[in-house]
Amino acid sequence: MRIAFIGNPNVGKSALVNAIAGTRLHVGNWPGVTVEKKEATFTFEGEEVKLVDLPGTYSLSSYSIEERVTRDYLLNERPDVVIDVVDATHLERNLFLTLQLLELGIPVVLALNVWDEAKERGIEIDTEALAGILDVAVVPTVATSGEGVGALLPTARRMAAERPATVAEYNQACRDAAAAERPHVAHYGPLVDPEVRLLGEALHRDAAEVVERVPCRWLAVKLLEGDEGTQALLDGAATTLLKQVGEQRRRIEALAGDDPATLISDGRYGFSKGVVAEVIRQRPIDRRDLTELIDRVVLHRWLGIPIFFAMLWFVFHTTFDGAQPFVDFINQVITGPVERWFLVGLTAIGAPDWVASLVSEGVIGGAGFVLTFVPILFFLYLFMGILEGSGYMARAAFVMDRFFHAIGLHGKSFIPMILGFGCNVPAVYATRSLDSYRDRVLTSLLIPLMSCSARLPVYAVFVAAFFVDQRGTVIFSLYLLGILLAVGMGFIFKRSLFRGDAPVFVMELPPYRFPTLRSLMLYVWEKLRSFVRKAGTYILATSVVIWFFLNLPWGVQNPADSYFGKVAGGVAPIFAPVGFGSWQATGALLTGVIAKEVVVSTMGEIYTPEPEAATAPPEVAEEIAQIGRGFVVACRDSVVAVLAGLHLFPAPEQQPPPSALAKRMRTAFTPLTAIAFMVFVLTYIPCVVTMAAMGQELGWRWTAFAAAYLLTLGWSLAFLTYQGGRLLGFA
Amino acid sequence: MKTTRDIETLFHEAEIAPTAQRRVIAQAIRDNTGHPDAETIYHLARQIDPHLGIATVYRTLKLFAEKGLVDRHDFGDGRARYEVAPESHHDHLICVRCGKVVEFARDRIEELQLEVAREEGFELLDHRMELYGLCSECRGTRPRILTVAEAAADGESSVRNLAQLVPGEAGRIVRVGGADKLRQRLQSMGLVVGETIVVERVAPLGDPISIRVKGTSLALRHQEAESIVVEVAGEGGSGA
Ligand SMILES: Nc1nc2c(ncn2[C@@H]2O[C@H](COP(=O)(O)OP(=O)(O)OP(=O)(O)O)[C@@H](O)[C@H]2O)c(=O)[nH]1
Ligand SMILES: [Mg+2]
Repeated sequence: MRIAFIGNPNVGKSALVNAIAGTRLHVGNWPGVTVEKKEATFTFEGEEVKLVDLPGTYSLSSYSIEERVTRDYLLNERPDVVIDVVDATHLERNLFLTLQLLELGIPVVLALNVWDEAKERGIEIDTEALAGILDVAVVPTVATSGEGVGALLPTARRMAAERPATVAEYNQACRDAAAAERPHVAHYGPLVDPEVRLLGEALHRDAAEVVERVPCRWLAVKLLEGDEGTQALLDGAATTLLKQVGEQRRRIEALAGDDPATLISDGRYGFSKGVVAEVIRQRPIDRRDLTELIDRVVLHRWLGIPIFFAMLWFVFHTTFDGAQPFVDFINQVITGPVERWFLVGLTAIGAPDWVASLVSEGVIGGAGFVLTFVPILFFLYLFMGILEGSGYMARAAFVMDRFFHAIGLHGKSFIPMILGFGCNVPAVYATRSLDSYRDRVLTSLLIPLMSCSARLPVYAVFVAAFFVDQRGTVIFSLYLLGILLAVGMGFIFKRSLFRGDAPVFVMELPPYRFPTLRSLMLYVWEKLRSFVRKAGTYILATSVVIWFFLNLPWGVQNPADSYFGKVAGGVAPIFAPVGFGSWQATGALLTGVIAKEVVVSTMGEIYTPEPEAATAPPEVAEEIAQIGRGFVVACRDSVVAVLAGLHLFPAPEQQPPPSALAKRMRTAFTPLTAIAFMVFVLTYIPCVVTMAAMGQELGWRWTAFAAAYLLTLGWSLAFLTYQGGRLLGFA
Repeated sequence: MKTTRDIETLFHEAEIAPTAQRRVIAQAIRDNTGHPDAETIYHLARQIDPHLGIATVYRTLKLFAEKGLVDRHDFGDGRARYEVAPESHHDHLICVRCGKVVEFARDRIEELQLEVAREEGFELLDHRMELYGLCSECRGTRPRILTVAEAAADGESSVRNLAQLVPGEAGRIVRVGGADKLRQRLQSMGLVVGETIVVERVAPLGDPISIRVKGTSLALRHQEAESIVVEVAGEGGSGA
């Protein structure tokens, strides 16, 4: 049995699928979270059930890609049942889509979701009456708590068994039934209805093959609405039929003085209003609630923008200050006891020396080093989760829209960009919620300028070596630079490549919600898991490969003479004018194309600290106790650092001693070249995975263009930073 | 040409058991001077008996039509219209814009019809004639206000476009304009004629604005707001 979840954006479709199937689909409190079809298969009472989560849509039209995804699924795959998820607090608006679904003739179960908020607002819905009028099954649910969710599948199964409806059966039923006796199909008034019937007959006659697949009544209504995507469905019979459709549309328009689409949507809303009047017992009080209070502040005329930037500053500051003690702690554990245990183990099984070296330099120095940044990502994703779950995301788009208008985009483009702070890959996919291809290309071109979480470890390494005192500020400035660059580049692109109309901007602002602790933890856990997996797979593989290239030809003494050193050294002159023309820096950047974390893992391998004077390893038990103590200290330091960063009380005087890597870095870079390097890392090609995503979404030509412009931009900026800095007298 | 027969007689003639609910519905149809559709009947009947459900109305109407107590007309608007079966025959003029139905009877037409049937060798059992067009009231008027400028020309001082409203002001939508794509998007999000909207606030940089409609907040730009024509209702809050 295939069950599709359909509904307006942000009504809780994904949350419902998660509640039923135990999946971890992305849930967020803003419209347009789900952008592609996601399936979850599991067994329910001995039967295989496939749940299909689809992007939210206001109508079965075909404007943005995600809307098309949903519509195409319904038409081409025709699920056995549709679970139409509606927001019980906005029943009338949601029914607009429901009425279109009913015209497809697929059995419908109405999930009255967000039932908790409806109850809170004193909305009482007579579910039996609703089911009777629409001829559907109705189940009240609360996806976030699981209340009522258990009834969905049995109901869906019953509906599928009771009213199996193939397209042919449904078409026949439509022809037989006197439309007037079927109160559940919306009527479109004296002008449109006869035309629908007329067109229906013509479709049966001239496009018999098409109506075998596509329900006739739905098709006729959509054609009269003038929906372009639907016209493509007609294939062979198109020319004559479209001529007829055109005539019919003109006839309606001449008589009504209004276009058919307006009459049709009036008809739908008229019906929804009637239904709502019938089933809602107590009118909702549209009271000024919490959402209104918060919006008064965060969307305030003068405070709105300062609050937005203060929020960003707070997030990155806290992320860094809070995470650093844990980063140091994990670093000590991995390079200390863990490495020792590995080496002891290897010696015990009699492995050759080079294997030990591979493990300590390649595996632990490379991939292991990347793992030390997990705490930073933990904090970052925690904040992203709160941002997404609370409903502020849509507000950020609202506040920033004017900026984006100037560069030919709209605030909605800002949402994929914010997601880009987490990872550029899902951000590129998220552009699907934008209406036009033009917007998608332009937004995707700018997304790589959003500093993703993989770039954080790189900054972290440099900041630890050079800017310990101002780490939050330096990092925040880099993020800000990314945003400013995006605005600047957008401006240039708009003037050159993307002239033409600015897109339409209409977006729903959802009510604020408290993200539940559970969903927040799941969110963070999912992201961290994929980061650790990445470290364990291709970052590890790259580290090992790099280790070999650093040690080939076999037994090479000076790494500069290794294959790796030769290749990197060959490319290095390109970077001489920007201040980091060493083979080491170049090598790190080259490998960083695979994933930005690899910049760090490669540096970890190249700048291997000189082995320190070996101290006698402590007892294992003692070591474990030390790890435990280290963790407690890290927790304390983290709290202290966050509070100090917020200037709630003065920072403690003494700084932790710089790590061995930091010392090596200080000999290889100056503060100025460090900044130039970070600026380059911010801007140059994000990673192959992002490029692959762009290739898939936009085509390869745009992807190649993106790579070229990002490299040029990165190099130019680093050049400006370095040479400008020198002119100003910084070394 | 409304029947004056009382409801008891009607039920008796049609052989229908006169339950309380049926009486209410029959009365609603009889008292209406036009050709009400099921929904209208439902609303009329509810004024007499507020507990009546729409399903009951549909069921009862079906029964009435089967038993010949009422005539069911299909004037092509997809809604069946009902009238208590008249004792004498008449034809209908139907306005396609406002749905008004005018009854008429002309002996000459009836005669002509019989003549045609005779010539074709038809034995007439029943007939209906329905003429569609614009009624006298709809003929002269413009269908709807098209733009703010036109409204101004008509002297409608309370009509503005949405972008002209300030936060706190409310208005009733009288027209949703703009390109097809935009208009349909707006409509699918609840911005339809007759709906009341309140302007909530303007974004810090002056654009976009956020409005409240059908219980949700929507953000849209001035550019889009300009294509929505509203009739100013007054200060917000009352609009909700
Ligand atoms: N109070 C309450 N919140 C809910 C309920 N169901 C979902 N939510 C919240 O509503 C928001 C949207 O949920 P999603 O599951 O992402 O919605 P969606 O329909 O998949 O949205 P799109 O993918 O954007 O179309 C999230 O913040 C959920 O936590 C519910 O029953 N009650
Ligand atoms: Mg979703």
